[in-house]
Amino acid sequence: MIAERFKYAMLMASLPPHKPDLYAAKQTPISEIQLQKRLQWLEPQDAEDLAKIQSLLYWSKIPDASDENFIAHTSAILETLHNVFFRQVITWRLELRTVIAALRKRHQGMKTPPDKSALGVGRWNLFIEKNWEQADFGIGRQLPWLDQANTLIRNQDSLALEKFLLNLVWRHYEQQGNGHYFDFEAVIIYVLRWDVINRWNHYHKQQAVQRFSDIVEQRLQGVFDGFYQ
Amino acid sequence: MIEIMLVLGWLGLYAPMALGAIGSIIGCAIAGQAAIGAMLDTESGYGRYVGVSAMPSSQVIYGIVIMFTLNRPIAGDNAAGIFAIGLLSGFALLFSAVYQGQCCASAIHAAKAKPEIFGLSIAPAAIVEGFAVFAFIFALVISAGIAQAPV
Repeated sequence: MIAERFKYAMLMASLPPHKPDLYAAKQTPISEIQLQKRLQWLEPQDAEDLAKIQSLLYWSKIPDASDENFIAHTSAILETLHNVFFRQVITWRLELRTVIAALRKRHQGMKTPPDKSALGVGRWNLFIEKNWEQADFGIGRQLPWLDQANTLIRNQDSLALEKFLLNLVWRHYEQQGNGHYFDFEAVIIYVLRWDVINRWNHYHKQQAVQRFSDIVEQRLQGVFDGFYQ
Repeated sequence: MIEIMLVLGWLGLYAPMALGAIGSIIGCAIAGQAAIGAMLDTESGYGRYVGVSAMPSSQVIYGIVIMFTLNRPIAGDNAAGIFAIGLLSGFALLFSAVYQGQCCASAIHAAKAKPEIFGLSIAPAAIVEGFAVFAFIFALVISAGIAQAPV
């Protein structure tokens, strides 16, 4: 038991701590290259678990598949995770995404909930399906943040919504990390929080506009080519 | 029956040293790993990290002293006393070393991020050391009451 609790004492002590406030961090406390180097100290089984968790939560590692396929793939991977803590951490984040996706779809004018297989992951699916017309899907008491998120979506304030959600995730991970200092759970929480800072610091207005223009141009190019032929 | 008593007596005689050593091994290993990790993330203060990580080594010294204090010819009338004092003080030393190692690892981790709290951060480890000293002192005091077996 002691060995498990202090399994990664050296690894955790070698990582600079996160700032308490997400938006106070102007950059990640450690570079990606250095973090990857430190994570090489993980035991093979733990490294595999971390990769599984990242494949489910990191947008950059999520395969370009339909909602149905992604949900089926996610559920299959979740089944292979035996650690209750990891399952809880992942499921919470996926449930958050499910609820936000449902709010967005409804805001875009979807009259009925998506098919069960494309709705999402977690325990709120049934509530979303049954209470599609209700502002908070009938789960506002269980998810107190839902009301504010819904307001921001209605106001189309994407930046404020993104900040709000990232902060929510940041606080949740902080809470989950309490009591874990040198074990594998602490490593997972550290890496997930690192990703939150990394994402926030990679947001760049001009780059986003440029990227959007590039995509539009690329797509329209094909259309125009077909039109002129 | 007397043979069993003698075996227990010998077990109790060696227990404080062996259990204290086991505790120190685990405690120093935990704190030492944290110290090495902290060295990778800092540019100075290496010496104090190593110094703090060596704190749990004192328990094995207490164990050796208790062992020598209890050392006497084992006989039927003193074996039970030696067994009880040796084993219980040994466990106290073992647990104090392990938990002190955990306190030291946390102190190193915290002091690395906030060097100004270094002194305060080792206070919990010092308190745990205090309990080990209690176990050590009272083992010495009480061992004076155990009969010296006839040679």
